[in-house]
Amino acid sequence: MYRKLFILFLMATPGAFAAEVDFAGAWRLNVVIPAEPLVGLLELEMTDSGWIAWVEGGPTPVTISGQQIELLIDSRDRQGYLFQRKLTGQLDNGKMTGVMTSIDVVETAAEFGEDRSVWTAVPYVFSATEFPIAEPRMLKGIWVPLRGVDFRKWSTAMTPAAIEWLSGYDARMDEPQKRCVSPGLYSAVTWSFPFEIVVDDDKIVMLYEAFNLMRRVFTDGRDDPGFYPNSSMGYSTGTFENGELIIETKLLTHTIRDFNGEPISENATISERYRLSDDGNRLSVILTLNDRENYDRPSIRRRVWTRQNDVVIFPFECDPDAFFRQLYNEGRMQEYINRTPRRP
Amino acid sequence: MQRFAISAAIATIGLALLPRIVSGHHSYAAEFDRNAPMTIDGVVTEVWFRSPHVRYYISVTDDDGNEVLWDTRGLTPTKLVRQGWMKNTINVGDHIKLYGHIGHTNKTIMSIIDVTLPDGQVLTSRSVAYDIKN
Repeated sequence: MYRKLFILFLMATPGAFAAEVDFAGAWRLNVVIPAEPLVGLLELEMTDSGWIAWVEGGPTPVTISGQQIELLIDSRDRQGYLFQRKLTGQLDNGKMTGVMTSIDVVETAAEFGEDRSVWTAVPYVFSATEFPIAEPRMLKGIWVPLRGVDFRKWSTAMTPAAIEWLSGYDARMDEPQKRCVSPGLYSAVTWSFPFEIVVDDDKIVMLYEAFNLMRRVFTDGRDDPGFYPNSSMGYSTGTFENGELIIETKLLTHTIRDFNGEPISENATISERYRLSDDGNRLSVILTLNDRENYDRPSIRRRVWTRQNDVVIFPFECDPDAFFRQLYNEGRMQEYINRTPRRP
Repeated sequence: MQRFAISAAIATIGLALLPRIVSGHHSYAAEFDRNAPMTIDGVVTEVWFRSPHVRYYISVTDDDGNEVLWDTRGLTPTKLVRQGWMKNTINVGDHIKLYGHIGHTNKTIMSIIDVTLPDGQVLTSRSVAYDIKN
């Protein structure tokens, strides 16, 4: 009712208010930083209570007035310390442009030019890749991660159940990797370790340095056999569409989204869209977590790698001994044991 | 529309809780105080060069003359090795100086930012995965 009245009001009001309507929709955010640009999906929706914004599926405070917009995107640095990216700008001829400043920026983010920059946003539409993946062998090789691309958006659209679960999470004791247990696919793909792609007739094999993780992505159209056990890396199938490799993964275990601890349920699915750059030596992925038990909206992350076949993938010899020794020395072993039932 | 309103409310509550979540849910931020870096120097009593993080146990003499064992840690070995920081770069018995972040509650743990070796060479425990060279 109120929405209809508001829209009627906007239609009857030329000038500044008319521009506000044009903000609605999906936008491709691009923030210029020296290493790699930050790229993200910005969604703007008008509701009864005003504008709502989402960046990479996470809630983002927004103010829109006339053609002006201000966004406050919470992000974390590489150690988990939080800072805010404040984007101010304006909409003109279907494109947003403006300035990014950071609030409470931490040293490791400022060091890479994330404290101040410029940004743009254009309508988010699918664009065909200029270098289509014509056949799987084009993906063979060793891929080394680059900085940038991912906003490292902190907050997500968690359900009340997920918020409740996270409120009891203690990273010092519950983080899987502390005890040499992999948090799984969503983390493995976004972590800053190299990985190798090996191609077979019916599958692609991805070998990750982190935690010696590996996965088979079946590309011959087969589905899971029906008795495939759930695991942190899940069961993956891949198809090639519009020059991209699209991987769908299911049969996951209850784990965490990243080292921040947000939950992933065993009924979640993960979609990955891989594409190559125009010289074929840069690989990028958009990673979407679909988990209705824990998130009202899909959560998105991104990663970019360069092909460096002279890099050697090292073994990842993990031993939890030092972690348990620390717990013992701090007198927290019993607390650790007591937390076993809720540990992912 | 009601769903949007609920999501917005949850988002608002979530954002309001952010500072608490940050301090409590990422193991590094939860465990180490980035506002209080400090330097210690002492003698290496044990080298633990394994994932997920290398550790050096350091015997440090405090202001009262007591020997205190510190539990210090750096990056994962695969990242350190790419920077030339090997298992035998630091050995038991070496007298080294370490600069890093101290634990919030446990004041004898440190996340290493850099290490000064006995010969004066300074090594940095910082990820350079974006520029990997074997």
